[in-house]
Amino acid sequence: MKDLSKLLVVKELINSLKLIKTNLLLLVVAAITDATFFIAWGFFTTPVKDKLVEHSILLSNKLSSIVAGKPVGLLNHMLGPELSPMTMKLLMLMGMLFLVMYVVYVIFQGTTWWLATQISGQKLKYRQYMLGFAKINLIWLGGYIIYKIFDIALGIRSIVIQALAPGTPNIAGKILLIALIFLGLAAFLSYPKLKAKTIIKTPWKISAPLILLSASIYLTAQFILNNISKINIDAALIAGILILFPTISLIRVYVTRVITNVHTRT
Amino acid sequence: MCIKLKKEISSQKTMEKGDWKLILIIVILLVIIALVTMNMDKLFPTPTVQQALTEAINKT
Repeated sequence: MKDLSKLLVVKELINSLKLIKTNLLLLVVAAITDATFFIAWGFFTTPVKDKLVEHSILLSNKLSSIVAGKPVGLLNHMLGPELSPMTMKLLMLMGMLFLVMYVVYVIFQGTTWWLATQISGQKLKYRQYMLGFAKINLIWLGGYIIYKIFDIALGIRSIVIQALAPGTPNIAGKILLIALIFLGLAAFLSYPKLKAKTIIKTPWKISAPLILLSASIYLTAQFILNNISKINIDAALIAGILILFPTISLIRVYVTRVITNVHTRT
Repeated sequence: MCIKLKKEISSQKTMEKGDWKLILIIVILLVIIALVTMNMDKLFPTPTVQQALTEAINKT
């Protein structure tokens, strides 16, 4: 019978739990930063999203009154003299939304990942890590923007196809979802070493169990929270803060330990 | 527990002067973004129903 504790992914999970125990202050700071991230995300992005929706409705109303039942040359109308100021405003709002999302994400998630590297034993300076985190997230932001463009285009296409042939399976949508999951995993695995190709360079015999174990740990914490919330909502809120955020920090430390171990050896 | 945390705090000398400068820049950046997002109505005014009606009347 194989000794599972000798497997890298299991050994480093045990090490991560020990490291978490000896770095309680950093764990608390990471958990508070994670909680603050969710509040800050809503606070900073909601006004921009609301304004974007308002202007989208305005533009579409004006566009529909101009084309008046002849939906051809929409792009020409949007870039024409009457609507181009509104179109430009809409594009500016979209750009602003992506910028705000990027800045808030980099600041808060960069800090929590840096704290995870500190807990895991790496001694990278905060400034050095944050600059690397900001750079690497430009790649992931670019990927996300491309995904969003395809998502909107395929969404509209799907609506048209469903109107013509109801029940047609949305295969393109499913492929896009897989691409998004891959993008998310690539980003997640890139953060310990700040290298974009980590997902490709990590052997699948390491990355697959690592992702599965991390997902299992997270889902276990969610399961416990869901059951607590069925009994008492207030208790679930407190339990969420005490269980969920430290669990997320544990996963970060664990992933950092495994990735660092693999890429130091190779 | 308190003694353990005190020992941990004294051993966590991982922040240099440059790191604190970056934190200050981050705080200033967040304040600027907060000011911008709280004033979205002024930066990107949406015509009110009254204005839209006036515009429609003027056109006819």
